[in-house]
Amino acid sequence: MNTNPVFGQYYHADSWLHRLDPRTKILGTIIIIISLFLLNNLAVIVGAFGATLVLILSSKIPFTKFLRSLKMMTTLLLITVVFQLFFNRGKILAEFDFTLTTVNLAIGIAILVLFFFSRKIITKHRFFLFLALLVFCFYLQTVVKSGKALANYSLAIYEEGLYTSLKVVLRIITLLLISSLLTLTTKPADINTGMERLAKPLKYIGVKVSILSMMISIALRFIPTLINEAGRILKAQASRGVDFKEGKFMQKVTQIISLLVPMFVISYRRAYELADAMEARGYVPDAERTSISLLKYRARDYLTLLFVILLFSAIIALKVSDYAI
Amino acid sequence: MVEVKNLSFSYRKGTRVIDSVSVKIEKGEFVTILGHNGSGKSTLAKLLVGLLKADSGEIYLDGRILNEDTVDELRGKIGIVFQNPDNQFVGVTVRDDIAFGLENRCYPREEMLRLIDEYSRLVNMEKFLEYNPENLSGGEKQRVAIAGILAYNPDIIIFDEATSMLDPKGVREVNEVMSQLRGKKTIIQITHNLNEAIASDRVLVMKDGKIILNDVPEKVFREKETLKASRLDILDCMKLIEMIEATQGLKNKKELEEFLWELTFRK
Ligand SMILES: Nc1ncnc2c1ncn2[C@@H]1O[C@H](COP(=O)(O)OP(=O)(O)OP(=O)(O)O)[C@@H](O)[C@H]1O
Ligand SMILES: [Mg+2]
Repeated sequence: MNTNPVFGQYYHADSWLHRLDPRTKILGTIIIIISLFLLNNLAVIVGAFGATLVLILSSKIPFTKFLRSLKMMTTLLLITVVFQLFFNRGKILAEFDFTLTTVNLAIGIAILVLFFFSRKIITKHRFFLFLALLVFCFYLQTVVKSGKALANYSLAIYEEGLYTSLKVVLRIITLLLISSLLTLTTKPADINTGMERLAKPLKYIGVKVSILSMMISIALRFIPTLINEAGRILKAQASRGVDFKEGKFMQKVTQIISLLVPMFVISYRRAYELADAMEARGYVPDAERTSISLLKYRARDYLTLLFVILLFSAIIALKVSDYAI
Repeated sequence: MVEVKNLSFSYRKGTRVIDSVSVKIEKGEFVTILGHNGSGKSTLAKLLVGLLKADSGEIYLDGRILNEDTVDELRGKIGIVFQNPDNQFVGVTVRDDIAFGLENRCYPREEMLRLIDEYSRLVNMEKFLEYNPENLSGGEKQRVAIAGILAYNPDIIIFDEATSMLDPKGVREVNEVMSQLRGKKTIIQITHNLNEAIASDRVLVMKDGKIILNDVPEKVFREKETLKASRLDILDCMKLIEMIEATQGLKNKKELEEFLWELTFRK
């Protein structure tokens, strides 16, 4: 029912996580994320990851929903793995000798050409296909030694590197899962209300919290509208002959302008009319107003928060007393 | 009751968009304001709900003058439905949108829930309370806007071309709600479609910021020349009468054919 791609991943189900007060979930998420950054022991991080999987199971949300947010980060994760694997020195775990021969080079080029021509047939997951082929090319260099050798080199994987990359990757994945858990179990409007209530003390340092939260909720409301609108404009411009797929740099600039100018004009007008509509319905900025969303701390909220805080204190305590966690 | 006395307004100095308008609308009346693009209808509506401040003249709502001091309070007496369904949907869901006007007036939550239930039913949107505006049709969004206004119980509702961006089905749905409100609320409907004006108690015709006609529909529609001069399309039935009158001078079949040909393609 929700098409909001930024905050609107909300997935309706009936679980204890859905029933928690948004404030509990927001605070809990923040504390857990900080804790994750404090952990530095692979076993403990694996434990945290396992606990997160249990949480996900208890949320009654299909796991595929979580994969979506992981998918967006795969490139980043892969880069991290490669970086950590090869740039950490220490005990050697495995060493590979590569020989670049004429045969290898020819096969490599053939694969590249095939990959290029397969673009019409295989359209999905091309990035992964590319990675697999790349790995295969390197693998070939360790086994095929025929042909004239062009270069010899070796790569080593160190124990340190393997551990660090595992830690970093698990940490990022856990982090993504935990934050998806918040957005999947909480309606955008409730996240907004929760943040507003949590930010209330900020008014003592002169922040206009009610206006800020109105801005957030209007953003929440209009992001999908604007995205739809951008889609419509792209189509309209395409029908006028603007080609958004091809073109050199200068043409690209013109294309972007042909999207931005109408977007800006329409948004300006929208804001103007929306302001009128809000004022006509009695909105006075920063005035006292009630809220339809009911936030109420219940026993389960206190228990959850207590648990999270205890966990956090334990981590800090162990850290301070030099335990390797 | 709405009373406007000698009202004038201009966006820029020199061009008066509203020019000494005086008009009185009784409680429970259904009034249609007609006028060509740019004749000042929307400007008049915005003046009535206090979104714009008049240069001179007065507006009285239920006998109380509308000015800076009273505007926040008097806004509870009047509501306006705008033309663009998207640009007046404030809430993230239908429920939040209907609640918006109530939240602004500090209604307690229980009261809000009761009113949302009552008025979402009245506009037939009770099954859509959790929906986002993205998943609603234009007509549905306009009905939500109406519910959001009815919930805080104003006496006067202005519909500023509220159906002009809707498909025929949406127009029908919104008009249905409007006719349900007839007699219960003072309704001011703004349009440039004469056919929508037939059913109203009274029709005001605006031209260049002035009200040039103010009478029951039957009398207003008889002022063919004045309507044409204010660039309004005349009623379909009036067109037919005009056509029949025009054919009186035709002598033979060929002339009639010629005439029909011209009539069809003149527009
Ligand atoms: N915000 C504004 N700033 C300056 N001029 C404006 C503004 N809004 C409207 N006008 C001008 O005031 C005149 C009356 O506009 P208004 O919107 O009241 O007409 P209208 O009768 O509602 O027309 P329509 O049928 O197109 O809605 C027009 O000439 C218009 O260009
Ligand atoms: Mg208008």
